[in-house]
Order: sequence, then structure tokens, then C-alpha cells
Amino acid sequence: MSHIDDGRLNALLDGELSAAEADEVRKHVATCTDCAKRLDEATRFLTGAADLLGALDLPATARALPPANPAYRVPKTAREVAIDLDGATRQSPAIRPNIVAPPPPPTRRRFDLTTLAWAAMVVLAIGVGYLADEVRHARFGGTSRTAAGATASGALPAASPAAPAARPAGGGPGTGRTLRGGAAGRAPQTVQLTRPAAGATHLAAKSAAQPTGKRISTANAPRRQQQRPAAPANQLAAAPGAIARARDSAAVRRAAEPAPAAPAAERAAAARSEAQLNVTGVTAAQDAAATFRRATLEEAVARLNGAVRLMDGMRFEQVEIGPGALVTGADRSRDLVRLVYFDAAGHRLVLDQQRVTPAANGGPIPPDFGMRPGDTLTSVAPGGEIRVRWIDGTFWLSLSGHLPPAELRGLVDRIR
Amino acid sequence: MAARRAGGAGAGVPRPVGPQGRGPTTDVGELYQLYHDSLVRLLYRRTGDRERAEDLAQDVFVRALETPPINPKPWLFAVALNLARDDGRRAAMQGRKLALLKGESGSLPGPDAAFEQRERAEAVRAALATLGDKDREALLLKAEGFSYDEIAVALGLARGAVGTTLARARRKLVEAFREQGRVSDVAH
Repeated sequence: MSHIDDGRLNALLDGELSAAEADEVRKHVATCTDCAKRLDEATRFLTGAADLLGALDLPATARALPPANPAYRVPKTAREVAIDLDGATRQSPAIRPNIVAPPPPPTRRRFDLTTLAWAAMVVLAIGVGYLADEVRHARFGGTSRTAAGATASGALPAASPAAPAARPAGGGPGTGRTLRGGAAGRAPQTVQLTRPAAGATHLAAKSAAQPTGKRISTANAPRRQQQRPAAPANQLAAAPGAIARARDSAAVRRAAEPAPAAPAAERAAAARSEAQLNVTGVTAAQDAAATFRRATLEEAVARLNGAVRLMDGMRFEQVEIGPGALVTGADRSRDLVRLVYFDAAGHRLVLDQQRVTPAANGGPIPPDFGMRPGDTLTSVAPGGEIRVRWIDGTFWLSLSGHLPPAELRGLVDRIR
Repeated sequence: MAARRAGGAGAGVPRPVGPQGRGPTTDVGELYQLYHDSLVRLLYRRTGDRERAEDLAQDVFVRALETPPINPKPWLFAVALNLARDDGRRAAMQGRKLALLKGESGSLPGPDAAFEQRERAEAVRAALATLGDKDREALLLKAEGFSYDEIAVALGLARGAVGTTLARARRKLVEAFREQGRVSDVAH
């Protein structure tokens, strides 16, 4: 078959080919390195041109400026209007006015004096209480307390891998106290940004690809942990605060191993727990397959306010758009653009992206997830799929695939 | 096509094209609601002057009142592009463009980010100016969400040529912009 001309490649990217024609072009591109290279090039020119034209959007005038509210409406982009006109996505929740919040302050204060003062008071109160307890038990011979305390705290390091196997499905009366003790003792110390998922283990870490990134905030972690059920015992526990990069890959490997060995009942319980927490992980991904719709790259660019992040050196397969609620960590109120790639070995790589609006106070983005610009979150799904999430400027990005964590994080550099 | 090319702001207003009979609305009020913002945006991209873009958009709807279009969407945008083209010629003859650039940069003093944004917009507009009429207009129409069929109707192209036109236009725009030393700003 002769090579595909640039016009057809652009028509493919614009979604202007029939299904049969598109299949034919895709098949050819999959076997022809020259055409694959030109398709990659055409993709870059398409997004580059869309990005440049975005610079010619109408300037803000007094009509568009906010009267009083700091969050104000901006005019829809050209493409949003056009999509509205086409009626193709009128029912889509994605077409709604952009709400632009004022930019965050240049420097973000992690702690203010009031917070520190409260923290000091809490620590002081706990210390006094502990001392009083010690004195009381020393006087009255509280050996039972010591034994219970040893069970709760001493089991911490070793209990992580052992607990799932030891825990009966129904949670017998004899083990209930041990589990509660372990959970209560461990919860405040577990890693931040960790989510109890369906047998999955999540790990928050600094990405090797993001050396200048900020450390993950630990300020709200204890409160978050208290509000949620204790994580499964096989869930990775790491040092509080930011995690050293060196521990990352080893921890992910360690975390991935116990998942298949966990009892079915426990996995089911974890799944129920996840559903209750509304943290949609694997189930959301499965649902997403049914609700994501095919789209053109142009449409994706429009949905992302004039720009899209692409991955170098991978075979581009297709673009999809779906609700952000289907992907863990994404802004649930906005649509999400999904680009599907394949690497040279045939691994499917999914690049999800959304535009995010920085919080007015420099807080987490999105607010329910706790991530801040520069943070990187690596997680492992039960099926072994690794996912890396990060925020780059005003983009929330997620890359997932069946690749080793380090390798997947290495691909982050290819995304521009 | 011939009629459109022969026309412009004067007597040669493009005639309505497309399917006859029942079709999209031809009510000018409704058309205004639907397409005004999009037209102004396209005309602003084309002229770089917001007030001029709004004036030209008004002219488009005046013509729509005079000659109700049957296939309004491509018709409105084709008229708008014709008017912009003729306006550009007149502006070049009158030297209005220089005054406009001077006026815009002088009237919008702002922080560095705003200055860079304006500088980038001017560079993009300069890159856009290096494109041929067809390429530029195809690109602007695509940016307004036009399908290949609609672009073909509006510009009088064969449908099969739209992809090639867009491919060439996109490449030329990006390369022209890069030549201005702004490589890092373009996705590549």
C-alpha cells in the first residue's frame, strides 16, 4: 500500500474519516514507520497550531471582568462555542463556563502561627495524659495496659505483611481487638495520600522525574486518616512526610506482592470500603471503558482550553473524552481527555489529563485529593497496573500502564 | 466560488450555498445568538482589532438581513472572511495597521505576563499573515469548529482538499512562528 498523504492523516486526527477509512489508515500506520512518524508530526503541528491560535483569543475587557466575585466567568473558547453550536456535546457536563480563580499567592505558607500553637497544645495535652497514665499504672500495677500497648505498637513493623493472612474473613472476637489496636496505632503514621483501595496498595512518593517538586504536605494527614477506615494491613506504610525517592520502587514492589495472596473476603471488604469512600479506582476504570467516547484531537484541545499534552516516541492510538468522575483523583466536575498510546513492546499506555484551576489559597488541586503542583503520586492497581499522577502547571496528568513503576515514571519526561 | 471571490464588501456578496429546502434556521436574530461571538472571535483573530471585528460582524448580519441565507453558517463566515480580507486591503492602503498596533500596545500597559501575551499574539498574527488566504481561512474556520464539509462549502474547496489545506496551513503556521525565535512556545 502506498503511503498515507498528509491530508488523510489530518483528516484522521480531525475525526473526518469514516470508520473503515480510519481503520485502514491506522493499520497502515501501525506497519509503516514513515507514516507513523508523519502522523506524529501531523499531531504536533495540529496541536501547535491550535495552541498558537489560542493566543489570538479575544482579550479580556471590562465586560468580562468580575464585578465583585473573585471567581469570574471568562468567555468560552472558540471551540467550546463551536461545539455548542454543533450540538454534539450540549448535554455534556464539560461545556460549562470556565471559572477562573485568582492566582495563588507566590509563596505558600505551610503552617501559620495559630496552627503551630494548636499543634503544640495538642502534643502537650497528649504528653501530660501519657505521663499521668504511666504514673497511675505504676501505682496500681497496670500490666494489662502494657501488654495491650505492646500488641498495638510492637506489632506495627512486622504486622504489615502478616496481618492479612492472619485475619479471618469475618473478623472473630479474638482478633478484633488486635486489628483495631493495630489500625489505631498505625493510622496517624501511615503515608500521606494513601488510599484504601480494592486490594490495591497506593504509594505517595516523589517522582524521579520531578526533582524540583515540592514535598507532599503532611499537615492534614492525621485528620484524613481518622475520617477513613483503617487501611488493609498489606497497604504500604511509610515514614510520615515526604518519602525518599530511593524507597519508592522497592516499596511499590513490596506493596504489589501481597495483593494476590489476600483472602477474597478481605479484598471484597476493601472494595466495599473503597466504594463507600467514593474513591473510584479499578471499578471506575472498568466503567470508564463504557462511558468514555471517542473524540478528535481537535476536540480534546478545545476541551483542554487550547493545549494538550502528548507523549513522544509512542504509537498514538486514539483520543477519548469522558467524565472526570470516572478516574481516581481527577476533578469530578470536569470532563477528562484520555490519549491512548502503545509502546514498542505493545504495552497500552493511557494518558489522562485535565486542566485544573489552582486553589485560591495555594491549596491542594483538586481539593479532595491533596495533591499540589510538583507532587507525584504512584499507585498500584490490583491487576498490577501502575499509575503515576502529577500536576504540571495547570494540567492534572495521569499515566498508567502495565510497566514497572520506574519505567513508567521515566515516560513522564516524554510528555510535553 | 467565483461569485464569492469576485465579491467582498461591496456588491459581490456571496450567495447562499448548500442544500435547498428545509435546513438550519434563517432567522437573523437566532443566527446572531448562535454565531455572533464566534464570528467576532474569528474576525479578531484575522484583524487583531476587537472593535473592528465587532463592526465587521455587525456588517455580516446586516447583509444577512438583506439577503437571508439558506445555509447560514458557512455563508456568514464566508462573508465575514471576505469583509476581513477587503478591510485588510483598505487598512494596508491607509496605513491604519501601524496606528492600530501603536494604539493597542500603548493602551494596554500591564504586568510582564500581559506584555508577553500581547507579544506572543502579535508574533502569532505575523506568522498567520505569512499563510495564503485559503490556508489561513481554513485554519480559522477549523478553529471555530467547522467540519471539513463546512470548510469546503465556505471556501469553495473540494472536500478532499480540506485535509491537505489544513495540513499545509498548520505546518506553515508553526514553522513561521518558530522562525521568529519562539520555538519553545510551540508544542513540538
